[in-house]
Amino acid sequence: MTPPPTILVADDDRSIRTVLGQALGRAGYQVRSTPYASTLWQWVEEGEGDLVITDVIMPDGSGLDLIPRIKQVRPDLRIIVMSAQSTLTTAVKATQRGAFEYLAKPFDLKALLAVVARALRPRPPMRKKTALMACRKNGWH
Amino acid sequence: MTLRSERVEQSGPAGPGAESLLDFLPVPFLEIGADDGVLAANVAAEEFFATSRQQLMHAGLKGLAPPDHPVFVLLEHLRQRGGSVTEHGVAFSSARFHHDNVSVQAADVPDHPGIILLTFHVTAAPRALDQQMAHRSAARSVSGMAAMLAHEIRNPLSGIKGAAQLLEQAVTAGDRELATLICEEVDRIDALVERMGMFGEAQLNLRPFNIHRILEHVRLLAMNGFARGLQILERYDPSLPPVWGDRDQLVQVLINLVKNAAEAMRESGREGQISLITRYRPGIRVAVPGTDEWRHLPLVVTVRDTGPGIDDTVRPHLFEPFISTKPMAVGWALRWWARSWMTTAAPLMLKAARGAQKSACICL
Repeated sequence: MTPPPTILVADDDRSIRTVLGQALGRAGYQVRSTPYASTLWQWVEEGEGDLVITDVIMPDGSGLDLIPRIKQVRPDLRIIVMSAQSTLTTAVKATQRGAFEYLAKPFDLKALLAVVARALRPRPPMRKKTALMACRKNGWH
Repeated sequence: MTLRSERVEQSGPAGPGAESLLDFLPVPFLEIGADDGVLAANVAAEEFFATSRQQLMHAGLKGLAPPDHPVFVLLEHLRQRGGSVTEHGVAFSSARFHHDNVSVQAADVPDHPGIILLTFHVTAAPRALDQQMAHRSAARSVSGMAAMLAHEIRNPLSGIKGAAQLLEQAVTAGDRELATLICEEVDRIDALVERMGMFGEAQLNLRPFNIHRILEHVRLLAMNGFARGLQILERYDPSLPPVWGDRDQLVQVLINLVKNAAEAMRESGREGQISLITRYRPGIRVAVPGTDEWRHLPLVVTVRDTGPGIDDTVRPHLFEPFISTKPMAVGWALRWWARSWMTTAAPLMLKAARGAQKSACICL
C-alpha cells in the first residue's frame, strides 16, 4: 500500500500549524510542521516531504528566499506560499520564484485542500520536445 | 517729507530713486505715517490691495482695514516700544481684495518717530505645505502601524477561521450555525484590515510620462463611468515637459479627484463642469524630508469643479486622516492624501469655499 503523501508545513504561528495539521491529517495526509525556515530547509535537503506549505516571514528567514534554493535541489517539489501580507507584490514575488500557488491569510480550508490536491496530482510525463525545450531553457545540454 | 522723498533727494537726480527701487520689490510695502495715513506704497501693494497708489495714500490704512484690525495693534505696539514685529495669520478683506494667512512685518524708523514700515507676505501655500508635511509624517506612522497590524491580525485570524471550519464539520447542526458565525465574523475583520491597508505605502515605480495622456485616460474613464453625462473641459498647456513620477499612483489620485468632483456636483443637483487644467508655474519647491535636497515642482495639474465647495468646518482638517464629509468611512481627502502625497511626494493644494467652485492642484 502506498504511504500517504507527506506535507511539510512551516509557519511561526502555532494556531496555523495546529489547524493545518488537523485539516490535512483529516484529509489523509501526513504532516510535519515547524516554526522555522531552517528546519524546513533541513527536511527538504534530507529528501523529506512531497509538498511544502510555507509562510513568508519566519523568525530565522523568509519563505520566499527558500523557494529558489528548494527548486535548485528538488525541482519537482511543489511549494505553496501563504502569507498575512496579502499584497500583489508578495504574490507576484512568490510566483516568480517558482511557487506553485499563493494563499492569502486568512484562507478557506476548502480552498487550501483543493490547492494541496492539485499540487500533489501526478504531473503528466513531459513529451520529448517539451523536455528538450526545458533543458535548453535551464541551460542544460 | 517721506522717507522716499528724502532718499530721492540724497541720491541726486542721476541715481535710481527709492520710489522706483521699491517698485521692483515683489513684496507689498507701505510706509505709514503717525496718523496711520499711507505716505508711500509700491506697485506690489497696489496689486495686493487692488487700489491705486493715489487712492491708498488718500484713504490711509483706515481705508484698508477696520479699526479693530490686528494691524493697528501692531502699529500701536511699535510706536510705544520700537523695534520690529511680525504678525502671522492676519486677514485683509474688502469688496476689492481678500487675503487670508498674511504675515505682516512691521518696523519703526528711529530717526522718524511715528513712521512705521509694513510689508505683507501671503503665507497660505507654505503653510499648507507645512501642514501636509506634518500630516505626512503622522501618516507614515499610521501606515507603518497599519501594515504591522494587518500582518499580526491576519495570522491569528487564519487560526480562528481554520479552527471554526474544522469544528463546523464535527458539531451538531445547531452548533454548526455558531461555527459559521465565527467564520463570517473573521471575514468581516479581514475586510476591515484590508481597508486599513489603504494606509500602506506602495512601492513606487518612478519614470517620465506625458501628463496629458494620463489626463485623457482619466477623462475617458470618467466620461464612460462615474461622470457620465457631466461636462469635462480640458485646458492644457501643450508645451509641458514629461512628468517624473509613478503613473499608476497619479492615475488613481486623479480618478479620485474627478470622481469626488462628479459626486459633489451630482449631490448638489447643480449643472456644472469639471475642468482639467495644466500649467507651468515656476517658484514652488519643497524640501525632501531627511535630505538637504529641494525639489522643484513647476507643473500644476488642477481639477476644478463647480460644485458646492467644501464645508467650512471640515476645510482646515482635510488632510488629516479619517476626515471626510462623505458617508463612506474613507473619504476623498484621506484617499488623496494616502495615495498621492505620501507615495508620490506631490503636494496637493485645495482652494475652495462653501458655495464656490473647488480646485485641487497637484504640483509635480
